Amino acid sequence: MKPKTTRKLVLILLVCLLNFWIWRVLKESSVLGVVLVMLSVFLVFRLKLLSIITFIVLSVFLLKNTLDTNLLYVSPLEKDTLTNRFEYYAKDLGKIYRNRISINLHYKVAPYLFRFQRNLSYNLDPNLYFFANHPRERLGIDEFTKFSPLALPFFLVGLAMFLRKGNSFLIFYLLVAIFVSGFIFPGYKLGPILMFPFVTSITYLGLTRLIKNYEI
Amino acid sequence: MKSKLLLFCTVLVLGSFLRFWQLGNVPAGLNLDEVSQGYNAHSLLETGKDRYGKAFPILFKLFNTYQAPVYTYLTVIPVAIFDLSILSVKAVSAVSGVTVVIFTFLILNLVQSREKNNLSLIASLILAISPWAVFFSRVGTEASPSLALFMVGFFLCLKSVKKLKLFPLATLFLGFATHAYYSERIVSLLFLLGFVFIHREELTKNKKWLLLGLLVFALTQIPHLAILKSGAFSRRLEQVTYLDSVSFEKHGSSLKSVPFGRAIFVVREFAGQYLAYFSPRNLFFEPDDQPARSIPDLSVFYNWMIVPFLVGLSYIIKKRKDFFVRNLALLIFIAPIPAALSTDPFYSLRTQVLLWGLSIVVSIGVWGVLVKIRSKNLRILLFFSLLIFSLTVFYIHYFVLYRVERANTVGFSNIELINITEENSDKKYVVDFSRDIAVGLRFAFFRKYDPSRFQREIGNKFLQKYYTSIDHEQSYIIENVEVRPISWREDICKEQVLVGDPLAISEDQAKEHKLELEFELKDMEGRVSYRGYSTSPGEKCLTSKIRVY
Repeated sequence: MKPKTTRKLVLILLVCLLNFWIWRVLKESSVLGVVLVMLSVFLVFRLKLLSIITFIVLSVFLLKNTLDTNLLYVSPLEKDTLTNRFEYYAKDLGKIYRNRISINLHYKVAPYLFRFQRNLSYNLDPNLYFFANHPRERLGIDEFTKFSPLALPFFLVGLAMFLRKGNSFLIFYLLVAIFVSGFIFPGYKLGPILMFPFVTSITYLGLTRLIKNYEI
Repeated sequence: MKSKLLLFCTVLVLGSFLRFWQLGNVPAGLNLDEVSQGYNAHSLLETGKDRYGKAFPILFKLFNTYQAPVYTYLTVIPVAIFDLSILSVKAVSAVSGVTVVIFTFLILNLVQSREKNNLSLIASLILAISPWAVFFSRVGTEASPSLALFMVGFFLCLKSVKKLKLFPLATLFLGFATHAYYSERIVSLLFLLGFVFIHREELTKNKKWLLLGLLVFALTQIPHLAILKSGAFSRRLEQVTYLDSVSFEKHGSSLKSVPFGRAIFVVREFAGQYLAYFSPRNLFFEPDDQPARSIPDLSVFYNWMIVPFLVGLSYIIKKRKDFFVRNLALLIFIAPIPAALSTDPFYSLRTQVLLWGLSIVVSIGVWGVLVKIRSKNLRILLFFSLLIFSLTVFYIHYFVLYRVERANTVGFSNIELINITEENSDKKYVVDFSRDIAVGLRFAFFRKYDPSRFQREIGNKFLQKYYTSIDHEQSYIIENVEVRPISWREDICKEQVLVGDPLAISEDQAKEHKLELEFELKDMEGRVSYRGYSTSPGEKCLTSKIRVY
């Protein structure tokens, strides 16, 4: 192995292992932890096929075990709100709202779309990863710090580099990971672990930028 | 150029329409800050003093806190023109919102090159329709004129790099902004320092203007210095910050035994709060937590704006040495600092300057996306689809949902109650205000109670320690209405109507005290907000012992 590759590998392994999140995962399931570390390494080394295969396996496992069943459930309280809101809209918009399309959209599409969108937004919150979701903690969810706030500067530098240079495969990974994570129960005790490889890759990117001896 | 101006006028008409349409009806009432500003403006107009009898206050006392003064002073003008009304209280905010749209166009016009043609139009349009910008322009908040003053200052600052003699005027506006809203005390000062540092080469070419500008800014700070040690100056910060030891005792449990634990706690808290102002979750998906300052299920930006936001960020990072980008980045970097010093999570009102900066990032992204689309028809289709979608979403969430679901935050039922008490001026009323401190002031406002009487009967007691004490009025007597907590021992023995929400007067209490239901007021959602009961002193006080709840 070339020294540059070794350095790269050591660095990404350090980023993967020096955080609270991976140890929580490893404690729960060592296989899951190892797979996450491997996926992070694949992403950093841009091993596209291996990344895709690992991601698919991981996604299937997560969707099978931690699917957010609430996505398709409307509680009685929410039903009540929906009914009330329908009346407000209908009162204001009249025929524009009192038609079959609007009724279907209101009762059969909007609540599920809203919930999915809410799940997506949770995973896009940087505070979720560095500050246990502080200051906007979610009710009824065990929030935990995933990465030390000390890693935040590296993440931000990496994010700036990511936005500047763009990396189509990483962008693709991010989009798909966010989409799949939207189907996973937000209260899952290990958090949105599909985002782990992305956050570590970005942190790695920032770290390498700051340690100028390392070049990608 | 002519067509561009015409298009800008269209944007301005749209922006003005969104800000002024039904301004007096949606929302249907006034919150605590608005009613205080409105009544103080009325009082200033009639007596030259605020409701406590203070002439030319540097800060306006509002119960146990203080309001920045610019909004109230400016409100004197619409109150003089339109009389005391919901519209006249909100007019300053709406005009400020339109001013921000105009200056956004001017600022972007200043820096736009041939290749970035139309960026100023896109930016002013984004400002005209962004949920945060329209929403806060329709709330009578000090932050609105503050943002407008800051934007004028920012515009003049950018101009002053080439035309140095404009620098003192720029600092004058930045200085005024510090009197308009608390956040700008920090933002204006830090921005000015940062701006001088970034452009030190250009600004020191003629030191006379630079020094004059700094002197002007210093002069605008004299009123602050006059009350610096009174307690009023820092009162608001003390109420909301985590910098004190009490917050550390309460929330820093894990760091108590660590060396420099408190410093670590403050840094960690600041970093978390600061980062939250850039979180896509807070900016594009979830509304602000407080019902009074957010639209139901609509964040400060529309969902779709996350895409141009990322594109704009990418552009800014690539062009970080560009003149405008450097100033914009400075503004975006500084703007969340005051809000990040408070415990409130994502307090959008305190970060209007940041939201303006992020709107420009979104605008750059929209422009970036549009120029990449080669087909003109597709570009126009995308543009109008997003515009119509945004306006529809805003209409539904603001003009329908917000109007109904947040009516209680502006005392909608309170206004109906005021009308009832006015129509029945021969009856005496006691109104409980345990859950809404603004009730008494609303009575004074909507019944246009004589301010000199208010000062004499209620306000003057607090005049001596205006800036130094947090004591405030506990009850009001406005004509035939007493606004105070109900005294069950005495009030049931007098011929009058007791008014309160279902928690203040339960049905059991009404039965126990032989109260007779006179009226019931519901909020827009159909929930009971007030019940008025007439007492039966003869029946109750003579026949049974009084049970005190």
